[in-house]
Amino acid sequence: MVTEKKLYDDVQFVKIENLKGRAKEVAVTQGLTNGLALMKISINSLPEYEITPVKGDPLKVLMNLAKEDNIDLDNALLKSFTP
Amino acid sequence: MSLVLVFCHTLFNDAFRNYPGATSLKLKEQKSAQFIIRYLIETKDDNSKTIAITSEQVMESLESNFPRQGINLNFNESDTRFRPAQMILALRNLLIVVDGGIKNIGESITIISDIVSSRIGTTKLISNMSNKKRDIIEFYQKYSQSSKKIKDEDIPFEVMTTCELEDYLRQGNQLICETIDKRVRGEL
Repeated sequence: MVTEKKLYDDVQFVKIENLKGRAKEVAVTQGLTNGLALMKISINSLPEYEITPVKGDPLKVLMNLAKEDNIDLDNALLKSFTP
Repeated sequence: MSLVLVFCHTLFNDAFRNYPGATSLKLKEQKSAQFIIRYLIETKDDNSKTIAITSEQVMESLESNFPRQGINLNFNESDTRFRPAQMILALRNLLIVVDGGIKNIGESITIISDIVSSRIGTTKLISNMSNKKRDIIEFYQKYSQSSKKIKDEDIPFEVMTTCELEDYLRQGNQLICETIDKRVRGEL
């Protein structure tokens, strides 16, 4: 069976205590009340929020996002900014 | 007063690329570039008075070599959706991305710094290019309508390296910087 990779319309770092509305409800149901988190949003009709608390270094979280997308960071950055 | 930081491409390059055989200066620049990204993550949701800007030209250059993610069902092209990779989305959300109005990456950053410095707070252009200041002076000289020789003090914004910016941020924002250091040490 081929599972389709989930796509996100937006990915952002958030402070859980600053969330409102449905995103906050998602955090509350996960027992999250404060701290840094990564919020992935997928929009079909109603936005879906996926909130993952960030433990440790957020830079590693950023680099892991690249890994999830199979991006070779060294190679991509080298190509991006080489005149 | 707001602090406006305008980033050139070297910030992203230095923060995320491994330089084989890097000198101690390059490693220091890499650490400070990473610190600045962490600082943006830590402060972006806290009504911070720090505004971070880069140019659409820098982001486009970055995006063009990150594979775009998408669904391609082949039978219906109108259903094909392509999006930037997740890391690019997350990076974009840390910054205000402005069209510098010119294709040249370096010049687009100078133009944005000039415009921003005429309106709000203190503007600092952040770059680890060793000849950045000279490039900026040449840019002003090229487009200046007078024959007057452009000097450092004629540039309406400050030019800093990532190392200088890290020192500056650490002096004025000790609590935030302590939080960042704790996260790096895995204490948070």
